[in-house]
Amino acid sequence: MTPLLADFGDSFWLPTRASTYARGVDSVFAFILWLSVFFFVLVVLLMVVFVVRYRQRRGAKGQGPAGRASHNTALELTWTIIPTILVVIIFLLGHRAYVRMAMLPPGITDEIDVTASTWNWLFTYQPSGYESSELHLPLGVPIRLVLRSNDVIHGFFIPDFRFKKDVVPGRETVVSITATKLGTFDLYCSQYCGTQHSTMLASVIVHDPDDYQRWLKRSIEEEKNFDPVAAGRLLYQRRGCAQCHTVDGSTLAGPSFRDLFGSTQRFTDGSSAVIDEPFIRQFVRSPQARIPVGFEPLMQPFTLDALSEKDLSAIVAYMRSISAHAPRDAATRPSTTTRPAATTLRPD
Amino acid sequence: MSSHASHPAIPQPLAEDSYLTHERGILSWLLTRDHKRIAILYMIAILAAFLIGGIFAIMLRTALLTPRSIFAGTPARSFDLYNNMFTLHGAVMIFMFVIPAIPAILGNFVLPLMLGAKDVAFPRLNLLSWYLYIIGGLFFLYVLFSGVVHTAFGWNWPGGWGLDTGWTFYTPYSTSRSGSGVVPATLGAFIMGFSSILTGVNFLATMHTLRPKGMTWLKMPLFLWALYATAVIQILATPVLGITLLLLVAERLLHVGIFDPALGGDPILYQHFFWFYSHPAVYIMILPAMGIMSELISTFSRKHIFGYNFIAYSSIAIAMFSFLVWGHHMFVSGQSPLANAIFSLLTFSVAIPSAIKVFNWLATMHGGSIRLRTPMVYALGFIVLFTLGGLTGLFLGSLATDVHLTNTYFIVAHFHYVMMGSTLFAFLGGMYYWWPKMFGRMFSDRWGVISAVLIFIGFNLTFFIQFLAGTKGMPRRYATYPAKYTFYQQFSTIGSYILAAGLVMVAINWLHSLLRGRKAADNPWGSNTLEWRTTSPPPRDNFATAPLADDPYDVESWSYDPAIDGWVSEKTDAAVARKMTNDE
Repeated sequence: MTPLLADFGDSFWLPTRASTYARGVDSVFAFILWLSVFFFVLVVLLMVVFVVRYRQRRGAKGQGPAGRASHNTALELTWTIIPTILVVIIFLLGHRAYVRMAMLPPGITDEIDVTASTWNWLFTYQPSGYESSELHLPLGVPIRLVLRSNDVIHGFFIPDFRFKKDVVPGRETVVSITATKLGTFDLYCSQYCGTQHSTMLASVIVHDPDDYQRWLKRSIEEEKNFDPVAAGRLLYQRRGCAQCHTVDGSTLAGPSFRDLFGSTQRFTDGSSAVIDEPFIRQFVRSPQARIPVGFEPLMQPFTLDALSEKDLSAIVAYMRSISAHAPRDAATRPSTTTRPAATTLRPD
Repeated sequence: MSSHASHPAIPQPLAEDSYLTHERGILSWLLTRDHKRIAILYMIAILAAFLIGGIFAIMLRTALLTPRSIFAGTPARSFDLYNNMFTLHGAVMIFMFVIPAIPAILGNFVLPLMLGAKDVAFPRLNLLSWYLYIIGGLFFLYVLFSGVVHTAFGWNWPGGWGLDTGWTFYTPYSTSRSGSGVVPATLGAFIMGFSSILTGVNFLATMHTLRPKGMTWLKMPLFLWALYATAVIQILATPVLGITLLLLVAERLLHVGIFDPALGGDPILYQHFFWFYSHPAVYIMILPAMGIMSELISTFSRKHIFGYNFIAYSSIAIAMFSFLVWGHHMFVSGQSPLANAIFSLLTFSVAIPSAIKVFNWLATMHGGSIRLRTPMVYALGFIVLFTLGGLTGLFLGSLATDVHLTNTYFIVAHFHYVMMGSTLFAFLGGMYYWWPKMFGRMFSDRWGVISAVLIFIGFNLTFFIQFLAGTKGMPRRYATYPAKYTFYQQFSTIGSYILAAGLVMVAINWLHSLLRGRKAADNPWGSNTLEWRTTSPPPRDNFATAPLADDPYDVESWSYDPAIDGWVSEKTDAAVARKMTNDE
């Protein structure tokens, strides 16, 4: 059974325990599991024993023994009352462990805003406002998470943390979370949100608290010195462009950004256009106006709130830097010199 | 099927005049008001829906063999195809198969017969219900063709295409995004809802007005108690679904602003409305299955059902509790912790009547004379699968564990154990049980048992592993998945092929029975409910003389006659008629 156990820590049923919620959930899980095993074995055993013991005799097609009781109130009350007591116990245990997740402990100072949009996670570290595409957490420090959605309902789910919460548009959902294990964990979107729902994943990276502070400080500093191309490269990740547009030439829901800038695109209405800066600026604000041939009208408009003109300029600069069709004018630095700067930003 | 067939392979012609041969021609079927013929019409339509839903299921499982999306075309189109298919698999299976299967096919056929009546209370309404089902189904077919054909072949269907909301139509995704299939699909579900409501009304009226002499409420067969409880839910809950779906259409087309936060609405409100219907709907699916179980277990243990009153009242208890637990679908959606606690506690109340039923079935088997004929093998399968489905429900009713498990494959496995495992097993068991009565022919019991075992094995291989994938965190509705879940997915897919093979064997067995089956006795199993006292298949008007009802589980008053491979008693239609002539 090795494949079952690979990659999942040491428990047969549950993954690694990496948050303060995990132990509580797992003990309720274990209690229900053993109770279920007991009743399942009891029911199946009784069934099998009865089938074997009371199987109709071969050849005899006659009656079973007559005169057996057709009810027994005391017995029936027994198997009404015992399950009642047991389910009340399960309720109380489940509720006790849940209350810890539902109630925000007082005095949490660290806040991270979680913004979900189709099909991207963006994490904003307060008060600095620094943004990242992975969720970085300090070990053992309670963090307040403010969950917001820009469009439809998403689900914030980290299996190793035993934590899940729907991210509902139109409301702020505040939860708290405390990581208890160093390492990298998966974050999934758990509420269906459209075409690429299954690619709406992110990494959760738990650092030692001191490392975490160093990482945050260094990242903020580095970002200040970015040129437009490097900034665009980051924004390409953070604003969710990367969910649909690759940079390696392969096609996802949208065309790859590799060699896209300066190329000519045909549209379903028969027109065509050169993809230059004015075109991109217009398209991003109303992507459904003209549908490129070979693609579905999946892209949603980016408002000025979601993507400022300055940020858009940076993304255009990045697109220009990775396109062979882009005119090499003086305004754009060659992409090769900016790459090292961008990669140092990624901590792991 | 002709009663005058002279083919040598059919040794005995069926009864000269049965409901099958009473009238001829396609119109005599399409305009029939005979509950038995309407049941057959439902059977054809619902089994066709089951086939469509099943083909989707196999395609989905095949697509999940690899972590990457394997359908042709661009990745986006491949994702869309998967998403459209899981939506239609769910919507077709739930609205067109699991909800109507037992009440509309077996309920329609058996209910008047069990009451010794000529028909249901409103035969024309009954036919209208079937037409509503068909019209609703056509809307689904439209969505299916516009969506899947578009994504598979890139053909732009006029008027838009696609439905990828899942069968739950959650807002705001369904109102602001998704394909335009949302409108026809919700209208289809709306129309089918009326079919369900009208069937419920019809059944209730029939049970209230057409019970025969001697059948007090507590002498009614337990299948009818289950249908009664089901009908109550259908009548009270389905209108809420209808209203909700209309609001959804209004939201999508007219931008009213009820559910979409961008328009000032609340998406959680939609979930409350939706689950207020759809949770009770789960019991629309399982209650009739439990009713069938009580009939099968008693008949094939040759013993009076144990604890009749507890089983009957537990059906009513389940129907009542079912209206109080909808919030357990929303533990992580942003409902208040207090509401969560209340719904969690209420949810557990459903476990109690379910446990009562299981233990009473076991007690019925105790001391009986158990015959492992095909229907009984399905009944035993039901006990195993329902116990597992029910027990895994405890993990989901409990708040702390639900937070981790909801929206993962654990949920998928749980509801397949309850809806597909349990309801499908009871449906197949019931179909085999009443098959001789419906068509007057026996099926191959050996192949019936073999296919039942194959389905049981295939089912468990497919779905048990999904509990494990779920506890390890694999989210549901994923077109692609992290590679660490590959083993679980492949294992499950192989199981689904075995399951499908078993179901194909069932279809072959039934077709073979229709064409070549040996003539069935009037009472091939020795049951004491009234439908077994008329001929197989019954005449147009069911009974020559109205039968007298007695204790429905007095199976011991029948004795086996090897000459006809059936059971005889002084209580049969013919015997009663003979006796009456003698008395005169």
